[in-house]
Amino acid sequence: MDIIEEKSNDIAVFKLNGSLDSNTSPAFEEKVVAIIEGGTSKIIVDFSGLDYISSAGLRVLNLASVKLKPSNGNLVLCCLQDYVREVFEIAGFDQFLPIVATMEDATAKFN
Amino acid sequence: MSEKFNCRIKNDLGELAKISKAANEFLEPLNLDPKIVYGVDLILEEMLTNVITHGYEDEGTHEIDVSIGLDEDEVSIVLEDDGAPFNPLSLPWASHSADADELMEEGLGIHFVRNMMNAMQYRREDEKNILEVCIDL
Repeated sequence: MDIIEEKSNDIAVFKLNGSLDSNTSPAFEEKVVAIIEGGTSKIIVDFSGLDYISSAGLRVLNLASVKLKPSNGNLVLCCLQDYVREVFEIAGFDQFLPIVATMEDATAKFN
Repeated sequence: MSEKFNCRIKNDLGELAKISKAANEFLEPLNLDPKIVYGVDLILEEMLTNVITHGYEDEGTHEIDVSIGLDEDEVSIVLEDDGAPFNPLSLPWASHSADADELMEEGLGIHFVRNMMNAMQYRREDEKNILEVCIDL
């Protein structure tokens, strides 16, 4: 899996390509935790290149969401493929994580 | 139409990438609905992670047999391990109202498997856990 990390203004954008599974989740966890602990409170995760996520990947997103709470930060997910979105729905994660269709919609959440 | 895939892995989380790759090489030429392939991947990862992480009390190397069978109307995944007796069917079902926090505690992995499969059977035989999970085509 590739993790591309960008910063535009005060928003951190992670673009994930490939699979977010038990093998690749620790690397993503390390990056996302580091950026939150570095003071970033606005995060977008672009799932357009992600074709698989398991419970290990969802755990990292849950952890990020919990870590963002003290700073009133937010985690927004965009561009999910249908099957990936279905996994979020099965897990109930769509109830507490904002999931939007496009990167523009994700950026708009922070304006 | 009847196809079968067998693979043996060690009780090491690093082996999951190997089984996922091998399973996908088997499944890809069969032109299944991508949703079915996703389900097989997820069931393999979640159930094998469970066995490898919680199944063994010693530090030794163990082998886990994985097979995937395809016939006209279903895909079946069979896992055989010599870990501690564990019947995943004995875990309580998450309630419909369960929120994400509750699911994390109750076991998100098994929750996924239950939502992806159509039938699941467990038996303990010759000191092995044998779990069969089926997905309808």
